Amino acid sequence: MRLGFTLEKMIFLAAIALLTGCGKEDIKVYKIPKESAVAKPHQQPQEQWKVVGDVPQNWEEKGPSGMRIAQYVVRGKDNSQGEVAVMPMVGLRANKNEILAIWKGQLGQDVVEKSEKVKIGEDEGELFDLSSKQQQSPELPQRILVAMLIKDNVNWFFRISGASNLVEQSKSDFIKYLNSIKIIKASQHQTEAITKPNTSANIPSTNIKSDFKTNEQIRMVGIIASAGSYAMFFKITNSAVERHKDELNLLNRSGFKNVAG
Amino acid sequence: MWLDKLINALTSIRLTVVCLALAIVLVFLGTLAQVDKGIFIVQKEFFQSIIVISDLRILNHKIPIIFPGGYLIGLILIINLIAVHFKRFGFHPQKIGLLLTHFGILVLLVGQILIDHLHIESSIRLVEGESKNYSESYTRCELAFVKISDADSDTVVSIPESYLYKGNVIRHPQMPYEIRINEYYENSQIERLSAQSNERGAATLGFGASLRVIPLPPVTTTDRRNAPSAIIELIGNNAPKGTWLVSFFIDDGQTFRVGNEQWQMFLRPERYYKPYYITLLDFTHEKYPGTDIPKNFSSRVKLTNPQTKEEREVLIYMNNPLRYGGETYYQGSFDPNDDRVSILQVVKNPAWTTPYIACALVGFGMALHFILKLSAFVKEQKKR
Repeated sequence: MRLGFTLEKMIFLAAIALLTGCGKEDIKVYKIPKESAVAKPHQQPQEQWKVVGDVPQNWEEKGPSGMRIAQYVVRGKDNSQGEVAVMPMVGLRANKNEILAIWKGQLGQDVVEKSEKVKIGEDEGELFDLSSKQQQSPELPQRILVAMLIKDNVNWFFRISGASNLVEQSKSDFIKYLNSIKIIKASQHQTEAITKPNTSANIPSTNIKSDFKTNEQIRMVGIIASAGSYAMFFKITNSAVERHKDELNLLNRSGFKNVAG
Repeated sequence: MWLDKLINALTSIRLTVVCLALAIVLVFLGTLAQVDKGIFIVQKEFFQSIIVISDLRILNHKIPIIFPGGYLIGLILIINLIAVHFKRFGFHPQKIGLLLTHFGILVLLVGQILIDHLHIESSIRLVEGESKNYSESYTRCELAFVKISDADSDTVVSIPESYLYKGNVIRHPQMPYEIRINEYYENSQIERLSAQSNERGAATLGFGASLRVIPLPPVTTTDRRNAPSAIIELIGNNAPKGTWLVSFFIDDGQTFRVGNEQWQMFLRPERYYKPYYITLLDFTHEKYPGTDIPKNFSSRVKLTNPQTKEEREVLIYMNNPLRYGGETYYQGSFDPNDDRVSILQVVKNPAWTTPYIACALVGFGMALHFILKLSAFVKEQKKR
């Protein structure tokens, strides 16, 4: 059954239209739900991290504020009060001594400093014991224990401060708390304009090339062998068509036109 | 008439043989080219094109190639197959097997073209607790301009990477300004200039003022991707005067104002937004004891669809993907530096059944043709 000459023309013209219709990708415009702003660590650290640990019973949670992602009020046996604060800082340019100087400044003059290693979660940090020999007004702390840890380019500070007696009574609880610390990152953060690329895109500085000469030689052999085999293929095909011309002509007469071209 | 002659040529079986031979040569040339260019570029230039205009590097010489592309050969084969059937074979009951076989081949060819255009493979990188409603392309990037000043939603104008070449000026009615591409680097690295350096930044505005761009050769392996950068300029009345550096490495959007509107620009992996969210609740990565060899990794995710009010937890692990919304989420990979990160591979392939249907048609058609021929032969023998 032949559907006619018209259909064949339509098929051909449709092919031309399809070919010429292939063009460039389009610019897309679409609407998306509002994305919540990605927090910069030094502005909203409590949205970035969460710290959990074994909190003693006499520590009353105050909730995060400002730079502090966790803070507690420590109640002493003699109704004295101290505080514990956890602060992460990203991009900190000051060194350890400069940071300690800030806290020493809160204690006034004649500050005694001791340091020891301490386990903070699974990592090792340093614990500084700062105490003032001077009599201070009750509002100001007399002793500060501060543990420092650098983890994933973030400087972590865990600090307990208050009257000397209170800090002394709370020291073992504080160290247990430090040992049990787990830092949970709430979301990816971006500290600078330059970030590490997505790990599915590892950027090479150079392409690794294997032995150039051997590859090229193999390639040349492959090209020559393939060219030769294609030439033989076409030669064989043509000679086969010539040999079976009569049979092909028979097919032509029975309705298969132009099989031999 | 010339059209008659052309149609005769298109219905010639010799044309079928020539197309098949050209396809073999094309595969061979593509195999050689992908050593230098990588599989993705070769797919685009050789197999997903009408004409191949490319080059081959042989003995450190670039040899230009002009050759029929995969789409042209495939399209002519499709036309040839259909035309030969209508013109020569016709539609007889005895030829039903042949018809089915050829139809199966047609489904295979057309299906492959559909897969090329409809198949999208992307990934979602999630940290535990993070939610996303988009996936990102492994290879393609987009220059995105996002209007963030509307209260309810953001408007995204996504410009494909194919528009990014030196000297191009991009215009679109939804864009507040025209964009001129001053420089484009298909692969690059960027570095921060030191405060003491007298070197000028790559751009005069935005982050680029303190950054330097280092062009790199395009990647050719499948486990890496290009990191493009571009120096662009906004052109129009009241447009900020100067140039901007947009880069794969700059995650933060660079902001500019157009009257009361606030826009941000990004050069980022092409995003495919979905009407639902995927939240990574927990990622488990087990290794064989005492080794770094991965044994099993799985992601417990929560699927939330505000439109259908759907909210459910799903466990995705090897050979157990999540199929939702016409897409399939596989446990693709993980971040070796952060064990709370899971990378899900997202595959959208509406035409995935075509190869199976095609094979079934071809197999059944050939079997039917054989049976019909055999029964006709047996009948003939019996008559004798």
